[in-house]
Amino acid sequence: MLRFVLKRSADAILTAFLVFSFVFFAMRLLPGDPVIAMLGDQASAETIENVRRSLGLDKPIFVQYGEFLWGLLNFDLGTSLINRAAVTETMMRNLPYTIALTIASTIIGVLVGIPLGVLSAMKAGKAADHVTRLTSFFGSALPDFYLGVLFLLLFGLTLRWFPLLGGGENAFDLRYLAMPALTLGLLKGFGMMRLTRTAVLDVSGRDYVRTAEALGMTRQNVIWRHIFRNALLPVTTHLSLSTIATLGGTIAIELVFNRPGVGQLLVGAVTSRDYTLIQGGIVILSVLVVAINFLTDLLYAVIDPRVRTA
Amino acid sequence: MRIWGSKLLLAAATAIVLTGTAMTTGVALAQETLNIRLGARDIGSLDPALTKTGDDETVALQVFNSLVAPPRGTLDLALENLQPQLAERWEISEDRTEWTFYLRPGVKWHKGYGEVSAEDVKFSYERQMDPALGGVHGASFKDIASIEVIDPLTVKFKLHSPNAFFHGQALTPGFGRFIVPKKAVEELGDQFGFAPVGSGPFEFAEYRPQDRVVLKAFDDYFLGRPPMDELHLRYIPDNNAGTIAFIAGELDTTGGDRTPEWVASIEAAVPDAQIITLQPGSLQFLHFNMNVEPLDDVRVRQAIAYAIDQSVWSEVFGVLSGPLPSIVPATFFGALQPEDTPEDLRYEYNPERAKELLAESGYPDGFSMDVIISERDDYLTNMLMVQDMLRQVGINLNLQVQDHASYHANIRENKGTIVELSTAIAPGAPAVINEFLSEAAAVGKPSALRNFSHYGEVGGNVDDLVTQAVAETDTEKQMELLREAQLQILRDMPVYPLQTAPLLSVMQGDIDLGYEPVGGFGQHEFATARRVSE
Repeated sequence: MLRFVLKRSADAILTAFLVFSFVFFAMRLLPGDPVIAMLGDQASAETIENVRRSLGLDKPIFVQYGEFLWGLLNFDLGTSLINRAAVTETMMRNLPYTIALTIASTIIGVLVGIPLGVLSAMKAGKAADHVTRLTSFFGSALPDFYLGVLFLLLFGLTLRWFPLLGGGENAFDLRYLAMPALTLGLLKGFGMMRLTRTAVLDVSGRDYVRTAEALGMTRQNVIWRHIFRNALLPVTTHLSLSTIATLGGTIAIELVFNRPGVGQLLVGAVTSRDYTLIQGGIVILSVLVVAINFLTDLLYAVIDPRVRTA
Repeated sequence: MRIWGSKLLLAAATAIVLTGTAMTTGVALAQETLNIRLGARDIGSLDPALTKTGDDETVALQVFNSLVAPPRGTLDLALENLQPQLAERWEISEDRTEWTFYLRPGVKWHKGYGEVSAEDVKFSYERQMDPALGGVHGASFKDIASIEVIDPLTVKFKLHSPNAFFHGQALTPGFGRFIVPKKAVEELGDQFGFAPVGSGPFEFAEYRPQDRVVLKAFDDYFLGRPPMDELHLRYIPDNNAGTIAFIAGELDTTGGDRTPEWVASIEAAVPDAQIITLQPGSLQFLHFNMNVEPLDDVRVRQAIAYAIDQSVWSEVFGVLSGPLPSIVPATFFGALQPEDTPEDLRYEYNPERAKELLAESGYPDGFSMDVIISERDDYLTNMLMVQDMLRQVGINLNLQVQDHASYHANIRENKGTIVELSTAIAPGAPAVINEFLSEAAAVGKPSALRNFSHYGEVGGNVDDLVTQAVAETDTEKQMELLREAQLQILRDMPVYPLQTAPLLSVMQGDIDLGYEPVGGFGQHEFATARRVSE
């Protein structure tokens, strides 16, 4: 197990380093001048050059890369080119909101998707199966921003159950988290429902399940001890990918509900060519993604002993 | 039903009820609060020297004052109509090279930083004249040779050369022209941009990143404490979210999509909403890069002018479009008025005349041209309309759509051919002409501003006329010189004035600003705003 952990750790560090470097160079290949984006279109050529020099953007690219790596080693992600705020501070302020949304929506997705998926599989071909599958197909076709606006209009504007916009007093303020989490959570649940159904049906047909049933085990025991645990592996993969996607892909929900988060922050940074904020943001997200993948690998090892010895 | 099932249901029902009763708006509000939407994602900087966006300027307008101001709600920059602000009176030398301001005594800075002094005025300008600061407004102060503190309440600006329009360029509110406290700026450093200190009707209270800036009424404001206790300026970048919040009553004012449909939807949902359009708003031009064939031929440029039907914009956009017969809007200081424009320089829609001019210049079958354009809605919509109109006379524009940041970088690298620009500018003819049509402002030069046509270098030059106008102390002669410059520009057609895009906002029906907003750059001042009961 130790060897497994060490190997995965080394892979994680190398992956993270490659991602940081790729982002650094990719940003500088993007068309558009960050200084013009920063100063707006009324700046004179002289001002633009002065600011470019003061930010070190006139230095050779490998000098800038060296300074970037040195900053990383000192846990200094620099300051935003646009408003000169410290990147670490800006990210640490926004990240909790994205993490809160990710956790809440994942919980909702799991609570909705897995039981419905199991139910649908166990009642395959019957009315319950048809209804859940149709709901899932229909729900999955809805874009997240569209569902979000519907919820905003219904629960926020019409029923006044929740405040309309904002992040609340903190990232886990349930009053402001509820609608965004419900929006994303339902969409996750629809996807998870179909995957769980497929996985359960697949495992249900295996010979060891038939053996367990033949040996007189109760239906409940067969489902929870044999079918569910084995169906968990693909569901865990999906959960991991879905969580990673949510971490970086919440911009539409953040815009609809005007909620702080990493999605809005990074999209705004790309639009305004805020190199340091983009770099810093990707560094932090990369570390999180690598950590999630690492944890997922460990979870596999826990669920399936065969993985530990492979 | 099994017992654990009914207990679970009871728990769930209780949770729903408790959650429902715990719902509040989430933010404790002072007794009288205005909620104002800002379209940015977050602060750029609230330091007046470093503001970059209209939203930053909106906040700055509530927190700071300038030396003088136009009559409230207008862009009237006639010298005789200037209103006192921090300066209670002023003297201008005969030759317009010395401008002396006598400050009001006893005007307090927020947060206990003492009183406004001449030293603060000197500091406010000199810091921006240093390029190292990285601000964009310093170019407006290039005429200043020195700033002299005569006594604690008297300051004198000495100019390099006579400038009768110095007040409009450098002294009225906005775009770097606010006065800041030297002591606070030096103490707070970079943090001043996130926690500004001014002398205005509202003082900074709180900044919640990506959420809002909270300002509270300044009790010692020299013009009287504002009626409103607090302003919450909320960062809501999405127009839909802002619109829903306005309809729900959570916002008192918002902008939205600049479309007639959006206006209609607001009127339907909130019948008593006030629809406010500020003229002229953004000015939208087409610059012809005269270093590129065939745009170097004045007949081709005039042909394009005749081929564009400006009336279509007002048909399509209604109140969201305004006429722009000349590069300087008619409401600006020194503008050429439509009635003073000769018939042949009005370029009224005439596709036949356009084809004649093209034939005369050697393009009887028209020509094709690559044109880069920004993906931003207003830019792209305008250019698509122009493309269609020019196609009718044989001119084919191959549009290459780019993201907005790339577009602005590329046109500054002189990669534009027909260059569209939508922008605001100080409301005076000298400022407009110097920014877009002076030789020194041509892109590619160290002194470049936004002269994408290279007028002044090629195709004609009105620099001398404008310099004479700026130095002229006789108002009538000054206006005549400016008129002549604008007529020459129309003859040479380096820039086609497309339209103005008035700034649109909506306000709840129970808000009275205390003045009539007619002209401006989209920022309302809330010093006298109040809620009126029905």
